[in-house]
Amino acid sequence: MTFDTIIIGGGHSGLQQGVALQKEGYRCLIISAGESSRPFRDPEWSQELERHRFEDLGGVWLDDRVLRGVFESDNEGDMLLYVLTEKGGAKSLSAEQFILATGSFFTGGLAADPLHVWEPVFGLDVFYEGGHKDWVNPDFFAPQPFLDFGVRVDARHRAQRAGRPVLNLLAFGSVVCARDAR
Amino acid sequence: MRVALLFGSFNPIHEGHLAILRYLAEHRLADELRLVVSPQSPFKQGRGLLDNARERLAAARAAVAGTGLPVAVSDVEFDLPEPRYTIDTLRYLARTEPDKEFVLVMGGDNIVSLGNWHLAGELLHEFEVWVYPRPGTDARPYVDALNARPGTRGVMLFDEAPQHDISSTEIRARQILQYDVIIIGGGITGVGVARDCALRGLKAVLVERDDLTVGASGRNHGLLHSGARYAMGDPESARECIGENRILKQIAPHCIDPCDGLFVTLPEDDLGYQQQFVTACRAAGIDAEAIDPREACRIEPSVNPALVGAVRVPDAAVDPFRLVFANALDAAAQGAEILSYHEVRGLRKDGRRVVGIDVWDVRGKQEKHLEAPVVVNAAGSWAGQVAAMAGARITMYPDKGTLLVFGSRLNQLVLNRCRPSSDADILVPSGETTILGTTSQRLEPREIPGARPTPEEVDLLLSEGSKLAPELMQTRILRAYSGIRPLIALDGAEAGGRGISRSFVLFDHETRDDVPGLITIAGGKMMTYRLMAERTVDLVCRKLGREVACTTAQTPLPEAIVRPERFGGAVICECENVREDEIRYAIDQLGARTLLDLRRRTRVGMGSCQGQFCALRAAQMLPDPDVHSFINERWKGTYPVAWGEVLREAQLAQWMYKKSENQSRSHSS
Repeated sequence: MTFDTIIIGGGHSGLQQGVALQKEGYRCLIISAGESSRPFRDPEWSQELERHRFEDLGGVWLDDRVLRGVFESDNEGDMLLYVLTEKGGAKSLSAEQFILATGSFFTGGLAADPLHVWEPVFGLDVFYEGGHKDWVNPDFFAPQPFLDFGVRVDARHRAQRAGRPVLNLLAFGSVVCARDAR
Repeated sequence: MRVALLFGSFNPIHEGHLAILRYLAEHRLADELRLVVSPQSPFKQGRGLLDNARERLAAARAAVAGTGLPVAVSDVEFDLPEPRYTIDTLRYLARTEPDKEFVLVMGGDNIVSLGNWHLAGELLHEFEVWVYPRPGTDARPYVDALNARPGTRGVMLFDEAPQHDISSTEIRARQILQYDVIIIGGGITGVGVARDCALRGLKAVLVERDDLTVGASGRNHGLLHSGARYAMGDPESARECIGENRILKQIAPHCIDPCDGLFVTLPEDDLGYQQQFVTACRAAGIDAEAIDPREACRIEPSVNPALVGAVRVPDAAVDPFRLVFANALDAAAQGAEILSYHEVRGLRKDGRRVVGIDVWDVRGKQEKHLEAPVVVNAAGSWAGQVAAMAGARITMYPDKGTLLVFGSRLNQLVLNRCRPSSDADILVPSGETTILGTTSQRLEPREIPGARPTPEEVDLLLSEGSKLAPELMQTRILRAYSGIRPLIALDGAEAGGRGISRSFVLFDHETRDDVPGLITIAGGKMMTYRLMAERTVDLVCRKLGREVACTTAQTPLPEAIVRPERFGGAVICECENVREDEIRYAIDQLGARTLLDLRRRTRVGMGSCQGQFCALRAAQMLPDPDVHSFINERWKGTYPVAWGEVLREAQLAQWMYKKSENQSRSHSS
């Protein structure tokens, strides 16, 4: 089976993109590794209902975890050729277009040690500043810098690797740096 | 047959109450008059003058008898289960005496808040209410409003009844309460002194401006020293430690995990030190045994396998919260009063002699005057301020130590570095967690309130601590916290050349500073609290001329925190398995009002979720839920370690609590 678009992450943003693209006639695969964090913020929203909506439109849902991707570089930037998953082993999944919607720290879209913040699937460029002591405000109820961290995207929402855009990888939702998201 | 009921704590009963009874009797408004005396839990905020409910009951009976009025004094509430709401008592009476019609009599100052009472609508529907006027309150609009509510049976206002400009609260404010001994400070030392006093038959009262355990007693390692750590540098402390170590294991087994400890020599340490260390331990009476490093790895798999030497010693882990509350509960059971949330405002003096204290009851919002021939200053890091009020000078040497709590129990034995004391060289197992400490930083007294862990201290603890147990680096951190060691700086003569002592000092300010009536017990360690209390109360007894022998070394402590298996109800805190009934117990019997109080009494919010899921659930049960300060208090310990799992959960907490914060703000606006 071939797909026009592979969406990594079946939470709020991934499903939103999937539903919209299916409606426009693109064939989408969503690879989802777990539960959405959305209900903690919006108890009305149901991942299950949205998934049914997506599948009713012809979308395909896969419970699996993307481990990494294989890229190819050219003059303008990088291209993501295919991704490998936990259950798929050596079997790769490829598409014209990829969308990253893995969420932020809570759902594992971002990870942190005391000195670094990174995006664990593709190693994309991530915005963060300083070390762990600079990421938090001692007043819990004040704005917290870490909530702004995330992968850098350009004006077309393309993610970047080592300063170069990945031409066929868009990022949406809370995995994206809050300053770049629009 | 109509029975009029006047409810109250009658603390104390006064002319105002009697005047109402006289009015009701003279106008024959009821067939029977009854005074219902409310008991209070012995450990609840002692707001009263007569904290013994039986005393209040007896005083009410005597006062009523003196008037010759046909009034019965009822102790029906003494046998009713808690919480006792007025509606419950009224219903109980209506059920047990079905031939009678009960009427609730209350003052105009109380009617104002009746709408907020438990089941107010039901109460007004089922029972008639009579209101007598109180000076300063116009009850009429409230009476009219309640009568206008559908279902109200009838609220009657006796405009003509005599008004007495008197209240129990004012009487209490004028009263001076007498004791044998007053203790200032609700840490382990203060509660230990209070219990020892009570066991020796002294009438003791303890005042604490915050909750029990908020100072160093609740912010330490939880290490029950064997004394080995002090054997080289301070043999006197070492002897005290091993003696108390043995006694506490006997009298407080429910507070202690007798896990033993290892002193580990790493390749970068001097192995020659180990031999001197073992010799010094033995000289101090501590069973220290050098064991083969391979044997050490076998009994303690978390230890750095590169170790070159290990000594086994009888260290143990102690739950400091349990130990404090066990002492406080037993002190109260033996007749001492424990007044938490009572702040010392000043000392009462007769010339240079200290004869008592003036305290502000923070929650009851009133001043109280306490007098006793002896006042014991056990205020820990604040001992200097208390002494200064009496004109005596003590120099405290507050020293900050920061510790890290890990989310799983890494080690079964306490792990120490076998070298002169340094940062991050002790790892103590604590229940299902492990605690690493500590750092050391001198503070000025004014810096104490703001002391908190810093990210720099966390980095230092981790890099040093992981040498002791490399697995630490991969272990999830729950939180960081800081405590203040209440060390005391001694003058040249007092110090005997030791300067800052880890041992304790007992100052008799009569001989030291010509301030009779004041004693200070300061310095020392949680470990030696019992011995500190014994020496202190020996001195108190000498001053009172009542020499009674100390029995605390032989008298076991009761279980303060009842084991969770004994409680039922829905699980409120999954991490620490705290159930609904335990929370109710902590509220009713241990005086918990806020989430922070509750944490100190039940471990709610101390486990791996750090209050994320349980705080809101528990808050709904509390009289004074303080979710905002609870969350910020927890954050104080988690933001210095905000990476990895902690950062993940911080994000969830931000979503959950900023949202509920916004919701509660919009509700209240």
